Amino acid sequence: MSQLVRQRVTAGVGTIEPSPEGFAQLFPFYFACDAGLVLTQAGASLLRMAPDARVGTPLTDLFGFKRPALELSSERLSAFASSLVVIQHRSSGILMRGQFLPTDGVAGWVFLGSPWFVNGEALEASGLDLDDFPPHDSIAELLLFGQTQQMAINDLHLMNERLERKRRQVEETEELYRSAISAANAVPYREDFQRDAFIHVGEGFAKLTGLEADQVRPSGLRALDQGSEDVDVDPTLMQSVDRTTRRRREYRFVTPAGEERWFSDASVVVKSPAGTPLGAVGLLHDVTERRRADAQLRQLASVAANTTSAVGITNARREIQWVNDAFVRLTGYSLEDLRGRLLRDVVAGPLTDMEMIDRGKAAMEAGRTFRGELRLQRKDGGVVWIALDVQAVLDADGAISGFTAVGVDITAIKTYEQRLEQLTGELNAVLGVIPDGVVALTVDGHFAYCNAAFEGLVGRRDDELAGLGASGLDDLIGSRCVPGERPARLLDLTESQGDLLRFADPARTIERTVRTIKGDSAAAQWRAFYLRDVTRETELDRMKSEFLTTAAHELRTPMSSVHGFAELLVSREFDAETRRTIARTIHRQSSLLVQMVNELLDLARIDSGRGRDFVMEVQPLSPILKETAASLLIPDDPRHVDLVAAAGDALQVNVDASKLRLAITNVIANAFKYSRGKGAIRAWLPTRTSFGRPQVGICVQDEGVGMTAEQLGHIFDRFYRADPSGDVQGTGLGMTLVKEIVEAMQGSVEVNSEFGRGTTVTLWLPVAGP
Amino acid sequence: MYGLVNKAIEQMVCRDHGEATWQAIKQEAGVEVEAFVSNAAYPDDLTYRLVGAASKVLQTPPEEILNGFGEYWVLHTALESYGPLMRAHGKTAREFLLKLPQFHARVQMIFPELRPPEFECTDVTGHALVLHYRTSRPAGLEPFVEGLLKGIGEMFGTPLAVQRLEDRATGADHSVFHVSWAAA
Repeated sequence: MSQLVRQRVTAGVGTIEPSPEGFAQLFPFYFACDAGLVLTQAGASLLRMAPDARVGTPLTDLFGFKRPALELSSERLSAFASSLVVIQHRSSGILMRGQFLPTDGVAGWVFLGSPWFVNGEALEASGLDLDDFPPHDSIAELLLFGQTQQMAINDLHLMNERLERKRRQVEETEELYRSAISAANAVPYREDFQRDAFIHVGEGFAKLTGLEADQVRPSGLRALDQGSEDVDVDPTLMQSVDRTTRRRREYRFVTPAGEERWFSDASVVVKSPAGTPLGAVGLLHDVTERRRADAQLRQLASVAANTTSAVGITNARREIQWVNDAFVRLTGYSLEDLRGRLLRDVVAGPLTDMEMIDRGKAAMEAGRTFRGELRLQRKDGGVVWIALDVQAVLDADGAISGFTAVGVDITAIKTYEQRLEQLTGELNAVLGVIPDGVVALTVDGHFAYCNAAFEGLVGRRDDELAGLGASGLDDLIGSRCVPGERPARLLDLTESQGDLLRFADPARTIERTVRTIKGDSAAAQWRAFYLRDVTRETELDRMKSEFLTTAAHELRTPMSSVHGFAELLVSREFDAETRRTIARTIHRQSSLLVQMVNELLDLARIDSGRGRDFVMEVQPLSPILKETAASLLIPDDPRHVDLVAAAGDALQVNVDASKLRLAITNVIANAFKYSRGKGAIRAWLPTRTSFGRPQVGICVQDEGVGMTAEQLGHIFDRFYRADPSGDVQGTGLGMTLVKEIVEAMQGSVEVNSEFGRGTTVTLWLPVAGP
Repeated sequence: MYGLVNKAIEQMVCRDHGEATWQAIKQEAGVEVEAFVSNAAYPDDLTYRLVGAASKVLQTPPEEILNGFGEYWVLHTALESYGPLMRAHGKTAREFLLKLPQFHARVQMIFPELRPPEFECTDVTGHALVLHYRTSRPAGLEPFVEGLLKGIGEMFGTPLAVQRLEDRATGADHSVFHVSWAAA
């Protein structure tokens, strides 16, 4: 334990001898040692700080000098007495500041001082607290100072950190501006008005202008000014500038390479405090493309204003902003009528297709192009057809900024279309009912159209023919022809030269002709082919030709006989008997000629008139038969016709009596001629019902030579003779004439014959009246 | 007030509401100081404006702001800046409060421009004391003092119950608080 002893302390103002308790309170960290530097006393706080400071311990074991950096010894203590020294407690490392004072009376030293801490952590680590220090000690203030210093350093670090952050932000912003300026094809500059020169020209100037910065630096913007156009200053820009004035101009410039370029100069004029313009800081921006676009825009605007098409421009909400004169003329509405309104609200009328309007709206909202034909109602109530084309206008971000609508008046076209549609319908109706096949090929030789008759001819529907070329149609038509027949190609046919085809199954004769239809040019022509079934005409022609040949042959035989006998009479002398014989022959042959000519004339008349010149009259049939049979006398044949009573004796018929007598005469004459004077000839009037209609027949029956089946098949052929030997006089026209007469009176001829047994001919006629 | 106070307000707002809110409060208060210097003196008005703006931006009564700030001041600002020194001033909340006048005397020595408040403890018992608060500043900082006391209690692990006995706002010449704690 330390021992508190009275000590004398020498001070500048005299000698104070405090009480031991007061001394200990004033210097709680004091310690004393003897002349041999052995610890003799220690304060309470020192003992808390250095528990090893036991009395009797050599001072050098406890402490060493820190300042001066020398070994602790009595001599040194004498040398540094009353000077500030710093000693260090060896075991804790704690520094103490204070001074050694020589003790009075007892040789030795006393240390007055206290531990030295520059931060609170060191104090805490020492195990001491402020109560260990005397109140007059400035340790707390020292720590506060230290802490304050630390705070100032922290503030500096914080400031530096923030400044560094700001610097990075500035650098980033500068880089951003540099990039933006570079991307915008712009160059910053600073111009001095006093020297009329550039002070600074930014990077990219040479690339932009083709001039090196050094070239233009002395002359400033004048180097670029080759026809500037002042541009109106944007008022919002003006408002953003305080005490300065913005300049905004555009310069035309021709680069050394001869290329015309335009620059926008946006700058701030820097003024002196007195208001004198000193210079300008600005950006040169290449606006060549914009100027070109502006020029094009002006041209387009001129086109839009002057075009005959109706042009309208709307905003993104489809509200009309502008229309051209053609639009006004087309609709009758003025721009004032239309501005700010939706087109549908103005020009939609009762005939307008509102579904199409809605489709247009949907397309516009989706940014798609819309095209459609609409009927609009003019302001005066009239209706116009327009072909409308609406396109979205996109801004730089791709958003819809508005729409342009172009409308063309197609009222006339629509009228023609309707007329054409009507005519086409009529034409299709006609082509659909005509029996001739019609097929049309396009200019490039492909199937375009065919009618129902053509479909029937080739056995294909039009949808099966779609897409076929001319050669395909050729193959199809060829497949319908009789085997071995190769028809000409469609495209080889000309208007002046058609052809005939023979179709098989069923056998038909087809006549092909072609007509060309003018296309867009003389060379471009459609072709329409007509395929007409001429089977009947061809057969008639053949029959007519055959008839003429036969008639000439039949007439020539008796004519040659008359001519030959007449020539004999003229050239030679004959006795009377011979002359009579010759004269009878001439008479007989000429009578035959007369009969033949008469019958031909009758046939021709019936053929041409088809009964229309018959004098039809309802009358009893029986008298006609009786009168005809009674009046017919056959030379050298004593037989008479046996009239047999029958069911039809009382019936009436609607006939031309004279023509019917001619027919009956021919039938009865044949019965006499082909029975060679033998057998009975009977006649009667049978009845029957055919298809529910009552008929009465004039039936003539002989027992003559009869006919074979083959002969019977030709009985109605003109000039056909069952007996070609010439033994039986006749023209070969009689039965033909009978058939023509009876059929002209709605009747029919029935012939039954058995070779060697006789023939029965019945002329059936409809019963007239009840 | 010293910059440390304003800096503490900034730190508290940034911790609880983020940097953007602090910028909004600064803008609302019309304060353009980029960073407060801890040991520099700033006009009291600037601090009051910051508190008012914080109240408006955070939609919280100023008393609540001040109360929270007092607690934050002890537990973060003071402890981070003067931790060992504060702990060296006492081992209990009671001891600390008793040495508060001495602490402020030392602080004033270091910061001569600082006008620290005067605290005096009377009626001291083992579990309570009466704290007298005197300041040259206008009335209204009492919630801040109450927040400080709350923070001190928390710092020493001894919750303090604070009751305002007298208030300058109601005419008293100084404000008086009754501070009590559970007996150990």
